[in-house]
Amino acid sequence: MSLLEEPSIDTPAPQARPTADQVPLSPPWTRRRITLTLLACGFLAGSIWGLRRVEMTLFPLIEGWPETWDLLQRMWPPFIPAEDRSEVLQLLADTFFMAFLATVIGVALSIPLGLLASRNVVSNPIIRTAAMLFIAFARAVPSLILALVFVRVFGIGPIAGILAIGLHSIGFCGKLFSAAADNIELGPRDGVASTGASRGQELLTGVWSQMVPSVIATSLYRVEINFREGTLIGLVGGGGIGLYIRGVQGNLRYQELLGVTVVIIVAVIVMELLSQAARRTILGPTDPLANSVRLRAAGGWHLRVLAHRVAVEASGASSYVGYRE
Amino acid sequence: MTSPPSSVPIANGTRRPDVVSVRNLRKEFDGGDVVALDGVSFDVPEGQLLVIIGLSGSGKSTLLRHLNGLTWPTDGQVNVLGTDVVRAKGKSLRSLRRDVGFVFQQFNIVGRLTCIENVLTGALGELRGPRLGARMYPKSLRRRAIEQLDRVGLADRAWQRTDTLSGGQQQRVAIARSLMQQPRIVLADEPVASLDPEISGQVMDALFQCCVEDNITVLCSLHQVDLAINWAHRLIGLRDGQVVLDTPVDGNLDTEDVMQVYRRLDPTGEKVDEYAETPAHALAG
Repeated sequence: MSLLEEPSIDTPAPQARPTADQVPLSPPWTRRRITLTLLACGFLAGSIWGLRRVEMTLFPLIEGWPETWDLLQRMWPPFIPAEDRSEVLQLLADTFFMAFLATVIGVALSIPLGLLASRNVVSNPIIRTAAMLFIAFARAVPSLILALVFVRVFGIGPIAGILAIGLHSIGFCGKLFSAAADNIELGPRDGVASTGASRGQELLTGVWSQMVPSVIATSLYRVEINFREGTLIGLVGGGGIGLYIRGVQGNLRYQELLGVTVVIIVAVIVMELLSQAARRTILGPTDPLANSVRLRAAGGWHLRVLAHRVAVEASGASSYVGYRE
Repeated sequence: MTSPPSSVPIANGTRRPDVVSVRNLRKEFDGGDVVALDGVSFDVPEGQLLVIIGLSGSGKSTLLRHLNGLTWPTDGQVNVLGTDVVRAKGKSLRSLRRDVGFVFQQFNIVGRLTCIENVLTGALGELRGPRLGARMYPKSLRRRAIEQLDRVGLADRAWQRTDTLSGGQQQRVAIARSLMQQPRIVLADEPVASLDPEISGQVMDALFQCCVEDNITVLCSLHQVDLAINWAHRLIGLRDGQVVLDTPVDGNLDTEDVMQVYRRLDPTGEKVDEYAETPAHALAG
């Protein structure tokens, strides 16, 4: 309730105004500025120290170059034997649906957890901290470790992978959902509260409806990430294309290893395109990630333009009128 | 829903029962460093259109936010429609808020929702359980929401996203949301502060017109004295959290008195008091 209070009114001006020649020309060394400077120095020192470490370990790589070259030669050209091709495609489809189901599970669990972890929803710090800790725990445990556990329970196959990736997704989605709930505008929520709405009504109309674009964008992004995770989860028996990798790697079939890697790279790029097209279609110009650095880094302009065209076609025309004056 | 329009100004002569009663209201922020309201007292009879004027930071918004429990006072009593707002919480506070519409300076509508969804929000107090999307409201309420939108001239925008509208239109949606509550009082906190003068006039007309039609008491804070005088039955002036002016609006209104509320303004529009010790020429060097 105290959130509804105005944070503060205009702070009173200082008593005596300094003359122009008394105003310093450099920014003052506030505590915050000192902290930030020390942090920057820390990062620099850490990088230099790290560089020294890496230089020591780089030599074996150079010394071992003939072996690396030999390995690369045995990998080239990438190749998947004809009798394996349908299996690879099946496993790839498995991976896709695993990513999809894992995201559904992860998002379904993350929404309540994210809300519970948000300062805007729960005022009790114990509940909030507990939800935050669970989310952090899910993020801290790698999905491969989770998959090892679930493979023990459910045996080798997609179910273990889905659960492992789904639970690990909570760490990412829950965190971003609670941030979305924290970052809503309080004004519209006040507006809903001022109509005499109950707390549940206030949360759904005032809070949730503001979170929706962020939840959709996060979930779609998570499908991409989960697809990438799903390609590896099979290495520990979690199902999907990773099972094939495990097989060829165990039998030292290097050409197949490179071949399936190429297939995965192509599949990941296609996934990103699909996900971006879906994002554009669903969110249109309200996408909170639309112009983010991440998308630029991930797609490059031509991919984004392509995705945008697909989205416009899919949404059934450019009938969308500019959404804000 | 609609009572016959009463265009009779409610001035001193005709007393109706008070719907708002504020006594010695005091509000401090930052542990007493900032005093936003300093012993404010006044009563508002039913049906009165009361306009509160004053500089930014004089306590207008804070005062209005006390009247529906969006803020709590440091000291003093606030009684609205027979409810002690300071003590009210939970259910009694919500039932009070159902009877008190609030129109915010920043509109405070949910931009992602359609206009009709925002207006329907005003009916949440009548319903049990949360709603998402217009289809979760009964058709009778949807019809009423469209009627309210029609009153502010936006019925054709019902299914448009609210953030696609202009500022003046958004504020009219917010007014429709307040009317949807069928309130007995509307509190308007500088409803036109972010709009241009012409649109401001239209919005104020829409607000006051509807409230007069529905016999709703209005407490409205405003910067523009001219807009205030057009509609108001009564003016209250706030300065530094104190009531410095309380006058009916009729032929005898002294404009000089009204301008006194803005006394601290110097010609450049800056507050001058705080810097009085430093002569202007000292700043030139």
